[in-house]
Amino acid sequence: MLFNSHVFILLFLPLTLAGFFLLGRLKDMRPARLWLLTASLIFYGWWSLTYLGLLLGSMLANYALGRRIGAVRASAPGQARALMLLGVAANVGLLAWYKYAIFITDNVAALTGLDFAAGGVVLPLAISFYTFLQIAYLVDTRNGRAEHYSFLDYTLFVTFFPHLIAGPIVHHHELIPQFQRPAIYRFQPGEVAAGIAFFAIGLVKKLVIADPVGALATPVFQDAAAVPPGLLEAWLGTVAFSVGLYFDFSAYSDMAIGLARMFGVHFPYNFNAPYKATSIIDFWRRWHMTLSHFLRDYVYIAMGGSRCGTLRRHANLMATMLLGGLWHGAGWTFVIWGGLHGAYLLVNHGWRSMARERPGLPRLSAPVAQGLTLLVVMVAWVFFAAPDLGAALAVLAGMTGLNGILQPGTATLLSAALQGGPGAVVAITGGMALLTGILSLLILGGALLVIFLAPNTQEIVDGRTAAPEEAPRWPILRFRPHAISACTAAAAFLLALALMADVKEFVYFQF
Amino acid sequence: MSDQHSSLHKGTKPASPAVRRACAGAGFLGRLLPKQPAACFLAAFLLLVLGGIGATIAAHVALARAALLPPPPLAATWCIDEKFAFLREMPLERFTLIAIGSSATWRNLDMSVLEQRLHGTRAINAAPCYLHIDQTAYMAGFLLERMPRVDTVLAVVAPRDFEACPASQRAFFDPHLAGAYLGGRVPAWLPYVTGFRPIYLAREAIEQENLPPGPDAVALDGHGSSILRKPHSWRPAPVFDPSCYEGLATLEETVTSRGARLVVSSLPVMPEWSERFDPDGSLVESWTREMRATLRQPETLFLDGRSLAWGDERFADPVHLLYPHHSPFTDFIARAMAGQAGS
Repeated sequence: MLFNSHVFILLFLPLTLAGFFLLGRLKDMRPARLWLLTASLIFYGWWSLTYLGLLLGSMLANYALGRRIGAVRASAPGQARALMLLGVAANVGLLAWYKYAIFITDNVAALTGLDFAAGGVVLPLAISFYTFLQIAYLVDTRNGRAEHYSFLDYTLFVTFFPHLIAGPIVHHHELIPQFQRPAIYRFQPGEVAAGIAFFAIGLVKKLVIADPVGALATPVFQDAAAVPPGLLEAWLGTVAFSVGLYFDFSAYSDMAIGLARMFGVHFPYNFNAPYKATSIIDFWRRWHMTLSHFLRDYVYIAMGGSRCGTLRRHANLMATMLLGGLWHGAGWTFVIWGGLHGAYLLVNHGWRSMARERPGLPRLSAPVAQGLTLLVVMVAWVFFAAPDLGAALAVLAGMTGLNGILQPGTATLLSAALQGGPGAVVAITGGMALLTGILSLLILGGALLVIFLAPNTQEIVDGRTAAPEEAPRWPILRFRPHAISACTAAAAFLLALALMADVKEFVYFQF
Repeated sequence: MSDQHSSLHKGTKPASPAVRRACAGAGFLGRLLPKQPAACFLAAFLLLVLGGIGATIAAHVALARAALLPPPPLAATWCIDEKFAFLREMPLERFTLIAIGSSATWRNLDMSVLEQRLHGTRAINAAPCYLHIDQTAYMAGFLLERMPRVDTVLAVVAPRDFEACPASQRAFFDPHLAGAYLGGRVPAWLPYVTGFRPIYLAREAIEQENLPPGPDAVALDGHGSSILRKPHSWRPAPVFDPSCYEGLATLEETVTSRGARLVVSSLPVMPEWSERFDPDGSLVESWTREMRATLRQPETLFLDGRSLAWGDERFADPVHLLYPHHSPFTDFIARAMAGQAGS
């Protein structure tokens, strides 16, 4: 079930909210929790009942293992460590089988000529996310950072539908204590209003911006190997993909945060104006923040972090980013994307050390640093967006002008527009295609202005600026619950309903 | 988290003067709403959303009463949606022969001729319009799952069916919703909710006055065929996408994997179109050769429409025959099918 679908908005969400708050009136909070768990399982099972079984099995095994680790942690630390390692390995193994079996066997087949026939493996929805949550639970239990949770609390934490499919990655210690607060079971108009505001902003970002802007990039990348893009198409495709991906994923995060907020539950923010970052280190503090924290805490630090010397630190950082790339997708393009970011981070850390050692070194001004960061991030997105290495290289060649300024098709359209005006273009493309293209370009322009000038969703709804020292901007946009803001939210909601028919899945669903 | 939680209770504070003014500023609505700001927000939001949904329902009802409502938008294309609405009313499990494809199939077959020539056959023309051959394969797979007695699948093809077959456009409707709709497991109004597109609805309502074409423009046979009665000036230039032959292969595989046989017939060539776009006939020859090479199953029957050397007067346009010339064309197909069955 998608957040941006009619069945979710018009049926699932109202029923789940109503049942939750009705049952929340009981003295015992468990029926409301059980209701929420049932709703979350239905939400997942809507996609596949078979893989709902896998999710349930995974939760049962991890919960049992976690309980055992917790029980022996003090008396037999060696056994606790062994059990934790076994659990992590089993989780990684399960993820590897479902996510990487085809990738691995394809590569082995390419090297050896052996066919392992792994093509039928289906990637279970959300497996990347619920595996990470449970690995963190096992590690935390072994390190004494987890309480003894009931099975109901544990399963609700893993499956709570706002974060289940595509994050944010919310940890047990962030979520379960909130389920135990009696306040969330009482209907709180302020929380529901803020949730609606988050959700409505997310819907508009997804349907009004991400989908049409993303559609500008798709043909450039999909056809790049066969029809290499010129300078204009390559840059347009890359900028459109960068903008589309940001609005797509941050929209999902906004919706997830908003949905949780309707139930009185607070999720951590997941985006914080990432394209305003002034360095790559800064970028990773702002982009998919919950994943960055996970990689830092459970991969980078677990490998030794910066505790074993500079060389080891660099190796750990690069390994973490390569794994982060591989987590996003089973393909060499994702590995290269992760590797590029690893290399960027090494350069960034090296530059910082050099600047510390030589205070006289000239500093980049903030706009230059921001522009440079954005440029290298976009170059890396080319690998993320391209279906294969050949397409990525063709787009990069286009961006450097190696494929000429324009593709022949675009040149024909431009020439027709210059000679015969819009009518001549309509004769080639059809009126609807021209209108859609122009509209998408205008939305792309507007989206760029929003990225660089407008406040974040959390700044609008919660008043949280991107940086603590930053003064609040655009006070007129600050959400305050009253009739007029309700009109705006309702209008956004109705607009989204009107655009929902041609529904597109969120990009991050495939990860 | 503590900072986030600090905003938790903002909705329960007494309304500030500015907020009270904002609520009051909403006029009549403001007087109806609760004075507590967050409750005021929620009440107004709910009222407006329900009002918007109510207005949309009212607009649909009004259009339906004025006979301007297009069929349930499963594909948001009138002639496809109309075919789904037709199929919903049919006892699909009883048919033994379906015709499927683009308008080359929809507008060129006389299903009663097939039933007469092929004894015991119950035939239905399930073809909508606009489909390329890979989309035909997609729809054939969908329908065959619901039509267990079908033993023959018939497709009439023209070069236009092989114009473009991008994978991204293949699944042109949601099979789950369409399956539930055809099976009567969801109400007929549900696709209006899930497929709500205001611009499409408005455009179709404006055009609905001319749709469906009247009896002077088309002849309906009650089996799903719709034959043109008037000539058209449409002369599409031939464009071929090589990937469409994979679509034809998929169609054959889909049909044979369900124990049915595939019959593919190309249309006769309109002389005027041929003189303009294919004077030496090499394009159609090459297309026919490719199709023959693609179809590999021994039970598949391919019929070359060029064996009917008809004049322009029999054609509405290069893709559609004029009424009643669809009957001899169908007879040509039926005889060949009967001959194959007899041999």
